[in-house]
Amino acid sequence: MCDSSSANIVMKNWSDIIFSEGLSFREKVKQVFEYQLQNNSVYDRFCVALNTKSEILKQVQDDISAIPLLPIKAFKDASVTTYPDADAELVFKSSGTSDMQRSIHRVYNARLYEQSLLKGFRHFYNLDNVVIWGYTPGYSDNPHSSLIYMIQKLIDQDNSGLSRFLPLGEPVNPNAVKEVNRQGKQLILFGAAFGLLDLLEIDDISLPSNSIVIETGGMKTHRREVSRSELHRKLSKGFGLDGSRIHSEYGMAELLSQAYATGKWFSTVPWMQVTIRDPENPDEILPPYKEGLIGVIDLANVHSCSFLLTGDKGVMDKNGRFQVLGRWNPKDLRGCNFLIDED
Amino acid sequence: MSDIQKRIDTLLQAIHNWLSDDNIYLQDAIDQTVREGYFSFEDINYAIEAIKESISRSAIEAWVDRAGLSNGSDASGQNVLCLHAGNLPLVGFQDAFATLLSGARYTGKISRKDPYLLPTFLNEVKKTDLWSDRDVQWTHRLDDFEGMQHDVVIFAGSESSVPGVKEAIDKLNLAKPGTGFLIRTAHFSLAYLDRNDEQSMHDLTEAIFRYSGKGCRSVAIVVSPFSLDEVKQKLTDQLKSFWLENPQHEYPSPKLKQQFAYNEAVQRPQVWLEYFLLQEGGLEFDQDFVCYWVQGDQSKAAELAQDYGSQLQNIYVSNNEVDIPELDQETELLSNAQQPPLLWKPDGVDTLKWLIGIE
Repeated sequence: MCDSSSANIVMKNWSDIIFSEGLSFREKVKQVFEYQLQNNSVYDRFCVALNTKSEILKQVQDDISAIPLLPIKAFKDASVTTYPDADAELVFKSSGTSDMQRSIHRVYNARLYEQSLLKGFRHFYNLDNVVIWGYTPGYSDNPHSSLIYMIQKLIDQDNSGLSRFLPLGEPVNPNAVKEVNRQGKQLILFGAAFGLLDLLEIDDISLPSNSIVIETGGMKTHRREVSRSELHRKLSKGFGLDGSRIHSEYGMAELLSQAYATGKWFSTVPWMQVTIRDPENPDEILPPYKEGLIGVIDLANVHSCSFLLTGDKGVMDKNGRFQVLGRWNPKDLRGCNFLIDED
Repeated sequence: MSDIQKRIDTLLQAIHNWLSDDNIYLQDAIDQTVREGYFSFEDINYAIEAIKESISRSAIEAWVDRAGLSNGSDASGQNVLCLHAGNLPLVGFQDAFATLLSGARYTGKISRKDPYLLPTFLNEVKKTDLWSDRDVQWTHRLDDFEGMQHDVVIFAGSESSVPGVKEAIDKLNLAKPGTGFLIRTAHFSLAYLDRNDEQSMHDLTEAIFRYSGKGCRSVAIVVSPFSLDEVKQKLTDQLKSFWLENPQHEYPSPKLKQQFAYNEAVQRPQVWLEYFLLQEGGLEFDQDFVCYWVQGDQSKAAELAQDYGSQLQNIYVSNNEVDIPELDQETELLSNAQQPPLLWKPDGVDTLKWLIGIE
């Protein structure tokens, strides 16, 4: 139940706040934090177990880095929402097999996600003269994939009729590439790491030199593993593109904003912030170039939880850009384990 | 007298000397270990008492018999390299003892995390006529042995640590083609608790909390028909007494409090114990100082044993009447969790038998 003051906050137009250019990031964060502390019972219980509510609010007034980050696995174990009784407009689920416990992200404002993904994409790319191809299953087959929803929305922005999902398991039609070129458009191809490699296995295809390939991760499956640099090298060679045309996207079902890497490092959109946290003490932000867990503030998650600790290993540079180094694997615990550097 | 009888007699004498009250070397080693913060005095004493309890002529002979060790079938002439971990006091004792009993030459890499205790035993062995400086050697630095090739290497490792260890062994030329590796990978144990009487709670407390929960024989999963809430009071009462007698030596990182907060967030039943966390479900094994409680019957215990396979060291039961269905491995009594018999089989492998090439 919300009291009258929180009800006012609920009534806020969060889009105006989150995407505002007039408000500072710090100010937006404080508003979202207070809203979620009042309206998201999962996050509220998490924070209150760490400290008293008044103490946390006081600390956050002084320093937003004091905001506790909820482990992202909460999306598997609970309903993480500020609208517990409402029907979600969209439901995103993390990928996984049927017997795996999957994260569920209930999205109560589809419009806000749409704004986030489009504004986010435009933050990095010019969408005006672009053809989007997705080498992924289509949206109708995967209504719970936030990535495919995003690609669909990007495709919908193009009126030329050239943007689409490519049929899986089939080579790229060279005539389609020619047509993109003929219309003077720039091609942006999205795909997961092994999806794109599989596409190249079918047939090498040269894309126009101004094209961009955006890999969306998935470098490690139960069958295969490839490093990001190796993947980019293969994609660059296979698509006949300069290495600088192979980009990366960092997103997940639990986040409604994305980060993009046009080189080695990822950058965030203005309403998202990444920090690297000490895995043994997630309250502590690690200095540049020290590996730790990726912590995210994603204000577009206003109706779920914006303050999250991922299970990904990352590192940050001095300019706030970051790299994703795979999953964080805690070192083997408990048992006898001879470690060459320690024993 | 046969060679084996000589080894048994000599080892018994060495153990007797080592564990005698007037062995100032052991006392000094204990003092230094405590002073430098490696282990608590209580845990060291407990580990030494467990060894004392486990060793007798009959226990050694039973092991010799089971392993099939005989004058014609031993490991004489073999060079065995033991890389000892240091997560518990004297954790490498059984490997060193098995190597010596087998007739092989012992080379030990003593852990920097438990640097003083085991050498006091090895020194007693070297004082005997049966083992010379050449037969029993140890160091705290692996590169001291560079170029010494061994027939056998024993260590406890894991998926992530084994490649690094093997690389170091190669680099230092410590193995030769055909060297046998005995690598153990089990990390924790499971207890099936069908009783909540005082003795069972006492045994469970020792099994979970001794050595701050470290060690592959320590219990990390409890399967029980009782919910955590049902046993919470009895267990915390036992734990208070345990910690009064055995003050916690190692402290968890702030991550444990985060796990507590997370459990609160997702409304998972748990017991917060400041230095330890008991939680129902959420078996992630991503941090120390957490024990997982699973409400279920024997078949649930069997299912988890199957799921965790080689990561699981032992399955304990509170009494001999408990039968875990379709279980490949033998069960042990919960009361023995931290007091293994001399001939216990880490990872299901009889070290002595393996050394003489029968297993």
